[in-house]
Amino acid sequence: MYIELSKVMSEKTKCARCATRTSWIGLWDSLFLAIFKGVIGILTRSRALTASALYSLHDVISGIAVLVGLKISTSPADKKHPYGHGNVEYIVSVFTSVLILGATIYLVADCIRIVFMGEHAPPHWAALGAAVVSVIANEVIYHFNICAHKQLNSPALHAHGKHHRADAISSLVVAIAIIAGMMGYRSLDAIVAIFEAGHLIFLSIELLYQGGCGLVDRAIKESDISLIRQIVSDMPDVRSIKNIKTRQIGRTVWVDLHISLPLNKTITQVNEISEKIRQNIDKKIKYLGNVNIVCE
Amino acid sequence: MIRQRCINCGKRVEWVILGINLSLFFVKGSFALISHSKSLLTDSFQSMANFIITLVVIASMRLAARDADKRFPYGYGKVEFLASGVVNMSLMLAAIVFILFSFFEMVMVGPEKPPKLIAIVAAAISIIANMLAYRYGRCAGEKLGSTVILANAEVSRADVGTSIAVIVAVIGCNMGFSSLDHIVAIAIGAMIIKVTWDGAKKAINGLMDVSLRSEEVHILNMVEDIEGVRRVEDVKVRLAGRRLFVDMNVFVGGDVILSAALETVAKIKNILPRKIKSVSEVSVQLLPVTPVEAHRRSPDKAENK
Repeated sequence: MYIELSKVMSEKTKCARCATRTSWIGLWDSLFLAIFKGVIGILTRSRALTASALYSLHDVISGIAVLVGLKISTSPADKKHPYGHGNVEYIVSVFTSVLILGATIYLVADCIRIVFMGEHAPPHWAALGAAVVSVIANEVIYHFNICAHKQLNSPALHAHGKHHRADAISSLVVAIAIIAGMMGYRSLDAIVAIFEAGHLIFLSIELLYQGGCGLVDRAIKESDISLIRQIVSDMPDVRSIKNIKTRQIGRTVWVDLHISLPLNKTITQVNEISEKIRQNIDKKIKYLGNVNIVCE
Repeated sequence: MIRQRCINCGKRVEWVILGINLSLFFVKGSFALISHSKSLLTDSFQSMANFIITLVVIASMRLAARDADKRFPYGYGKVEFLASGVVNMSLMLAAIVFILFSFFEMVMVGPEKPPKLIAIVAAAISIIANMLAYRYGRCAGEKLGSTVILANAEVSRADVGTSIAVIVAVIGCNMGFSSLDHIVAIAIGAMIIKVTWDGAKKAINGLMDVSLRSEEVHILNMVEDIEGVRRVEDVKVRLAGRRLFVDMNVFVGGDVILSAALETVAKIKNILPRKIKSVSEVSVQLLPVTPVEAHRRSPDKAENK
């Protein structure tokens, strides 16, 4: 019995280790594919492969933004940044999505020119090879991710896995386009590239929008706000809640609470009530950064 | 105080720049086709880019003027930083690409047939129009303290530079210095990168809520002089577009009752916007003097969460 249990435990930890390793491998894999497909795509003038490379680049960048967020968001506030460094995460994603948008729009313009001018480059074996490598690499990582997801039940891993699956499918389409190009349907390469770029533009704009909203201090989820409202109004001394303002700095949640308390309390008592409110909110809200309690 | 004339000017300035850029695109584009000048054609595309950038700026100014709502409880002021950051970043990228292209063309392609001198006319028109747009935008931006108008004015100035480069290139090419075109273009690109780098840095500082030391010290001294205030700590000032938000912890005697303390707070809220004109919101957290450490979550605890 004991032996069996320890065996199960070790299986679990093995899976957890596998999961962290898989996300790192996924990142390096995407980086390698972005460079590999990009260089071969430009050299062989296959626009579809170049678009696919940008796709991988998008994966790398969103992965890096998450890592940067994890590292920097937690570094404490200093004199120059009294509100902490959390917004770096948003800035990284805004900057990189602008970068990808620029490259993608340029690519689309180039493809439209090719389709109308009819200057198709002859397809090359190297481009086909790169596309096939990309299909295999992404499919393998998808299976690793899904295995780890099944053992650990982590939604993030599932999302990552699906991402790699999508990348594999897009590379497969590119490979088909290149084969079709060899059989004479040469405009297919540019058309596939336009579709891939269109999807990528959509994804980049979404990333840009999310980052932008975070930087303009969007409030946290409606349900979390009403949770805070519930906690505060349950406190015995709180007469009314004037306003709850929230914003997210990276991952951490900052709250400004405007409440009115009985006017005959002393400041020491007010401070005790505030401290209790803070503790109660802290129990319910994840990643709480700071609660500012203002009496009115 | 900001004068009414300047506010009106600020509303108009972007539309004027928008019109200038669109007409410059058509003027330069058609002259480029007549004279076969490649550099003028690139220049006309830059006017088109400026037109798009100005549209973004107008949209962001509209958005920034909105009041706070449920989704954005602190208002939309920071949209200005965001827009100026995005504008500067994309311009920087364009300049880098421009430099690379010019370099490759210079090395790989080599000399071509020189363009006709008529291209100079369009470049001259462009210089005058952009110079005027720059002066106008700079005046309005400085008076209103708007980073986004200033950033857009810099864009116009960069365009003056490229148009000068076009003139130099056209004349130089006709005199026989065929690679002058590209060399000047690279120098202009480097200048654009410098200008946009500065602008992007400013916008990122705003987005990161970088502290404004001089304002903080000023406010600290002012509030400590107010009657009833024992000590002031943690004065934090952040800039959301043109508005200043102030957070502070004010220590009063532990036995003071709340109604008396709230009068002190009212005094603080009264004085600050009068002394510093852009202060829009002051949030004061009241704390008792004696238990020093009990008032605030320690940073380590926040980190462990």
